[in-house]
Amino acid sequence: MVLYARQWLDQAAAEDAVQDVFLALVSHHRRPVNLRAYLFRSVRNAAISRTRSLSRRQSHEQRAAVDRPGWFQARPDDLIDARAAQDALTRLPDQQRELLILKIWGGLTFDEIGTVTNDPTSTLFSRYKSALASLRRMMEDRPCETTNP
Amino acid sequence: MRNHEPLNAADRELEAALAGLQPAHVAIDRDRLMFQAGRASVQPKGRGLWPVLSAGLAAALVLSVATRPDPAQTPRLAADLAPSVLLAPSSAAEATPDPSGDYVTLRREVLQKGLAALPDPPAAPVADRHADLETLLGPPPQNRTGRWPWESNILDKLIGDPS
Repeated sequence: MVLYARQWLDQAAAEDAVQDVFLALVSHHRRPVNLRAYLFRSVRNAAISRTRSLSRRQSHEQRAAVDRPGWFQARPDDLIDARAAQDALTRLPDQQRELLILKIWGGLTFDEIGTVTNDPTSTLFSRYKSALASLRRMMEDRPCETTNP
Repeated sequence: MRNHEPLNAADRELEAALAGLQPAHVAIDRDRLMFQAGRASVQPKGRGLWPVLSAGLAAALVLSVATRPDPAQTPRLAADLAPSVLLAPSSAAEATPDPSGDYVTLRREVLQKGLAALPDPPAAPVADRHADLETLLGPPPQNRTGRWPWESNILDKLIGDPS
């Protein structure tokens, strides 16, 4: 979920948003029907809300965000370069990037993703295929970074 | 991915490679999060009751003060009445001895002689009160001018005493 929030926020703000979502969940009287979809949707709302408030801050904070830590923890046995994957993901359209993160790292089904993004399943599936194709194309343009030696 | 055509091999390979990436380490302190969650769960739910109740009482107080009748317009019965009227019942009550003062004696006489032993109720104070009210509200006394004394006093001050 922190990785999902990183689309909009830096690491610290993303962790705060996720923490706030868990604290808000405690105060709920009833358990949500689909807990995973509820959590991701709450993180999405909290991250977007924080993005709006952060956008009003000074520009030096935005420049400092360039040096923020990566989304992934690079490991020797990775089949793909973590930094290259992050660069390719950041160049994807917002909807495609969000969908890939929810599907691959969030582990949500397309039905659950539909409850998070309010999109029909058929649209999500075609968008997912397009996102994978775009991502593969981007990484093929940089072959030296896409695979580990 | 039900009811959809499956991904091709290249997409599946890329999907698997991406899934192998480990998200960056998260610095959320689990113990701190659980502590805050526990504290949030035991906070009273009715925290907003007292401010609402206080505001309601304050509004009621302000409304009652704002709609209170003007003290200058309220009738001042005690000040308008003559002292004789106010003092008449109490003075009459003091003048008449209480027949039920000796309760034990009266009880013994009633048990021996019946209800005829009860004393007559005091009627004099009521009559005195009626007499005083009649002197205030009734026709002016039959004096030589046919006016109330206070009327005579005002007229004397305005036009002078002819005598």
